[in-house]
Amino acid sequence: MSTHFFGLKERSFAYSHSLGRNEFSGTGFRNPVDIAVGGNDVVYVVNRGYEYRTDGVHISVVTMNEEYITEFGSYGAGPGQFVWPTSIALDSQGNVYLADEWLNRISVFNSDGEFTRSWPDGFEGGASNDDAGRMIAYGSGPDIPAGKSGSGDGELDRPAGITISKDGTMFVTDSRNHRIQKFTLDGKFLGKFGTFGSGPGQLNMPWGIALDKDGNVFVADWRNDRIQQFTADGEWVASFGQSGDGVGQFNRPNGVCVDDDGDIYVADWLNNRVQVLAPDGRFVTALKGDHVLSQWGKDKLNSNPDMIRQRALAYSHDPSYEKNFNHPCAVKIDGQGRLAVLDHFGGRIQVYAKSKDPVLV
Amino acid sequence: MVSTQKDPVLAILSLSGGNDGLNTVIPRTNGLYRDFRPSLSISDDQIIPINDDLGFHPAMGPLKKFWDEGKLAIFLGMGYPNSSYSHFRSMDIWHTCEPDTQGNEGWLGRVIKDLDPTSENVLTGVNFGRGLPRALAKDGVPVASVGDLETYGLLTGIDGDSQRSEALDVFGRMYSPAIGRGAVMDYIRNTGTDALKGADILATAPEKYSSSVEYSNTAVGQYMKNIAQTHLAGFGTRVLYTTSPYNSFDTHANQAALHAGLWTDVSNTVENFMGDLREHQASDNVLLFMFTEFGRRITDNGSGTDHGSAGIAFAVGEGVKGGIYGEYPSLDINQQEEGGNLKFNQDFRSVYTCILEDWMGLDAKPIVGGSFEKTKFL
Amino acid sequence: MADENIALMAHLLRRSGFGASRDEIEAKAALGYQQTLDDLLAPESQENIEEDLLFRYNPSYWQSAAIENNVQAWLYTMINTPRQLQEKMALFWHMIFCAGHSKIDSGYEMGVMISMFREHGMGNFRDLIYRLSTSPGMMYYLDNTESHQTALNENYGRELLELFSLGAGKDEELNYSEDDVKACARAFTGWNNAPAYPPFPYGRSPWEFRFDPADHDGGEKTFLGETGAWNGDDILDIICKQPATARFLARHLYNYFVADDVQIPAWRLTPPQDLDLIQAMEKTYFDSGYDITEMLRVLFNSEKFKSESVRFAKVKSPAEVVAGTLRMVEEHREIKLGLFQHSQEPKYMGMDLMNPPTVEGWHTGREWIDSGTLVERINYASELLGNTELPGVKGLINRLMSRGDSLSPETFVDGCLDLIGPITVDDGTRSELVAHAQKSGDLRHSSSSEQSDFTRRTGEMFQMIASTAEFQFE
Repeated sequence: MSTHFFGLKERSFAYSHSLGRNEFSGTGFRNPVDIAVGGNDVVYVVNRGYEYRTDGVHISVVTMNEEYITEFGSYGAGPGQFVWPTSIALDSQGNVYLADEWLNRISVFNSDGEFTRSWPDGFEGGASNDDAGRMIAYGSGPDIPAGKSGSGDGELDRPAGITISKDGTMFVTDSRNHRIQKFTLDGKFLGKFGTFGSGPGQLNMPWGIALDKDGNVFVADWRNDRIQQFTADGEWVASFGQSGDGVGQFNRPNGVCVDDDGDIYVADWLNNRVQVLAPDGRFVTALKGDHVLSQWGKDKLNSNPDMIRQRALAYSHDPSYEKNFNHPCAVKIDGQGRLAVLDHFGGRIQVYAKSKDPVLV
Repeated sequence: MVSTQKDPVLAILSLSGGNDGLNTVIPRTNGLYRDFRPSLSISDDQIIPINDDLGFHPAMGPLKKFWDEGKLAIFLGMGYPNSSYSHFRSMDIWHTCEPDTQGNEGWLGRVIKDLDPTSENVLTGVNFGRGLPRALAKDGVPVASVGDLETYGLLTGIDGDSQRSEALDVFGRMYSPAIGRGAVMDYIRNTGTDALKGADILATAPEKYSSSVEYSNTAVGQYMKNIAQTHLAGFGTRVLYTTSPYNSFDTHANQAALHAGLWTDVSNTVENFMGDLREHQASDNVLLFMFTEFGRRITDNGSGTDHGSAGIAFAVGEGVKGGIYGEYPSLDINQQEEGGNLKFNQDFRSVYTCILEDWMGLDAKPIVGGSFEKTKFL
Repeated sequence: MADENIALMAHLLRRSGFGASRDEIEAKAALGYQQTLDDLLAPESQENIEEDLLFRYNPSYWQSAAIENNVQAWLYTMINTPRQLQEKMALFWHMIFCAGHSKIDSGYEMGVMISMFREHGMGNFRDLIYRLSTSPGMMYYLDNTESHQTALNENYGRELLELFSLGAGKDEELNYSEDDVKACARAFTGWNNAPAYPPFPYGRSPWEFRFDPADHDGGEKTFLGETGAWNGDDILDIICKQPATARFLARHLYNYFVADDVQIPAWRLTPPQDLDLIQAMEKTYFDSGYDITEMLRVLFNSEKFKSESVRFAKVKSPAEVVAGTLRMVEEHREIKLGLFQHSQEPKYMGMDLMNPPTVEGWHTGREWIDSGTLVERINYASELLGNTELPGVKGLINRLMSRGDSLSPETFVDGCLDLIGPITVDDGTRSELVAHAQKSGDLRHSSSSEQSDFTRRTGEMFQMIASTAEFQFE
């Protein structure tokens, strides 16, 4: 099936505001990789940090209005810890699920951030994490062995994206097994689909995953530079896009979500843009980023007044650098239908509101 | 050995990352302090008073004891002209005494050269930590960098004591002077022989040591313990250097909790260190100097503070004339340095000059690169 | 005895790259010297590292302001790029065109500079030095951003001549005068940078070169005997056609790839070690229109480079110790946790990558070694080579086992020396190693207890060889 991309309809998206700044903890994010938006405008941000700054590895809890609530989780292999967190999802009770592609496990926290369980069962954690460690320069963590990986049913090899359906089924992109696995929220294996390849329904290192309101599954088929749509049972429905930087083309798409109108949002990672596709996959529009200073950003500048002038000069020379997305990696729709876009770089989330009525070009 | 113990010894603890001076020695009666620190000011009832105007961070109780004994010097407004906000550059300046050009020779390297011009003692200067800080670097000056005193040495990867000691014997023979393949090979063999000698001597320090003091199991605690062990072992070591974990004082975010933890660790460790030396009647000839590469911004950023300029340093020791040296830089917006910073009023080389002349007994000028008004705290 | 084909290939791979595992050495030896060299000289013909994967697992490598992430990403590239000579040349230029993080204070910008050396370091020298002279990092590092028509700062103008192109002197003559420095600096006024974003609140932007004609001194200048209203471009043209520049490049390449020369400040008064080879490279420089790859082709095809006399005649740089050992033992050949600690090791050995001590760079050769750095070098290499769990070490042990059901201590020691080199050691060193091996007698591997003993003893012997003075050379 070939898919045509024409800008037949125009949705308009109004940039609303941004939240966040670069910070290792507290009022900012460091190398964030995913977000989840819960009720009451609460946003969970997964920070991957640096290998040598493991204090940056945790989940920040903030609001869409840029209020800091708390942070939880830390670097390590113990209960409630993680090493290479990749993806976060919430269930209908507000419990928090986190995938870790180094330890190959899913950890679960309640809505207060208290650790409750992890799976697959029988996972043996790596090195202990209590080394005061003089050899550990720079606040880097201990060298933790990778978690056991596998390709059998229910086994994981670098889980990259997770999402949870209304009926409580978790879908996991099992990236190095090039497949999707389905689990109960206790980690019981329910099914799988997808194999390695570039044909319809085949996958190559999938990353982001999302469901539409009818339970259809959308996968960011990362190394195939496309989005694939499946039924909840794993039957292939459609593939959208191909490699490139043109309209409807992707360069390593990694985040995907679908709003209640069925419009599909794709974080087109290495093209530094978010593409919006109509429910049938036709290209609607591309967002490049419209960032203006967040409140926390203003606070930071106010305490470093020399940088106010430095930024002003740079901004007048090239405003696009600050405005534009820079490796966007996650797109999510909040309870009000707003679109939240997260960058790896910049430690900020840009929020857009979609106008209700589609506009004919 | 007895005579060398009387030689003055300099121990240095570098607080890497830029310690926040404003929340270390706090201008507690200055209303501006609380204005500029909406998220991070410390309430007056928690501050440990030093005098009518200033007070210590609440975590610094153990250091206060040395203040009360008159053995603690507090240096305010420390810095140098045209302060750099770069950790690397600013640390280099403190290390090399060269604020205008990039120097590659450290002030303590020069000290070691002056103390031991022919490198008779391979342990005149010892660094605790991996990699040599530029302060100790100078061509032809051997300085051991000890990652962990308990396990320091060559061929540490060989399992089993007898296997390792056999391997070291083989190493010693392979590196012994022979008809080499030229000057470079001979040089490397000599260097290897020196390294082995130094490691053999250092390995005896933990064996000789016993103490009632228990240091905390942190990098600062353990390295300061290693400094005490090395000093007490009587190897004739004159310069002992260590650094807090890299950039640990770089409190851009969550400063309130982090900074309290850092100062709890440092204050307890200094108390342990001095207590350990006193227990062994070995504190008289030791001066401990603590510095940081810069202070931090006056205004907090909502969660932490960012790189600033003038900072605070400390000296502890039996020979120290306790007191406050230098002035507290003004917080007044019209008196600040551009960028919302404290203005320095005391050049770090003034303090170095006193250490060099009045403690180590050396000519300071060639070491710090000029004449600076001496901060007389000894 | 070591197979000469293997020995020569191992030598080529140590010098033109960061060494190789035994498997790779044998595969390339089978391919032949000429084909391997052709591949090395045409990096675009070889696969590149998978950047998309690198950024996926290490998003911190992307435009990171933190120097540590950039150094870590660079070490990953050194270990893993199939384009080994290209990476070796990136390090070569970094060690000559020195700029450092200490002043630049943006790891991102240092990363950009190294990428520029990677992409253009094997191209045309005129192009490369133009890129250097329009590198915003370098303009800032050497204060050209502070050099104005009305207030000249000579720093870049001077170092361009002394350290980046002509060198102070050649054949006892001085290559330029103070007047030339001044003319050069005047020609580069107005070569400046556009405003860049501060580090806060969202991270630095890439720096951007910007020529400001209003700040350029357009007056007449006499530079190396030629008079005109020279701009920086003209200066670079004049520099490139100087015999001193050809000599400077040839000698640097020889010092880096063939054998340790005296330290650079002594070059004016000390003749090159092999004038014939230097002159052949100089001739190629002009014949090819300043093509760096063509100079390298002459160097690697020379009898001098291939001769046994230059093998192990260079002291390894710390980057070579670290990347070379990791490649030999096949560790971190995939993206995984734990590379950071390795990336700090060159610093512990005296080579803080992306942060050379001054614009003059590191002193090389024997000056890499002092009692502190020697301990670091020995312990680093011996711990990895003694780790018999690592794939590269396992592979070596298996090869050694395949050499016979029973190995005498002499055969064992010679086998180990062959497999981790082939490396030649002094008779005295060899007899110490043999005497040590003799204490436990012949090595066998028919039972599982014999195998584990064989493995343990081989790991230990590798560690002892890694601790020899000879192992400090490449």
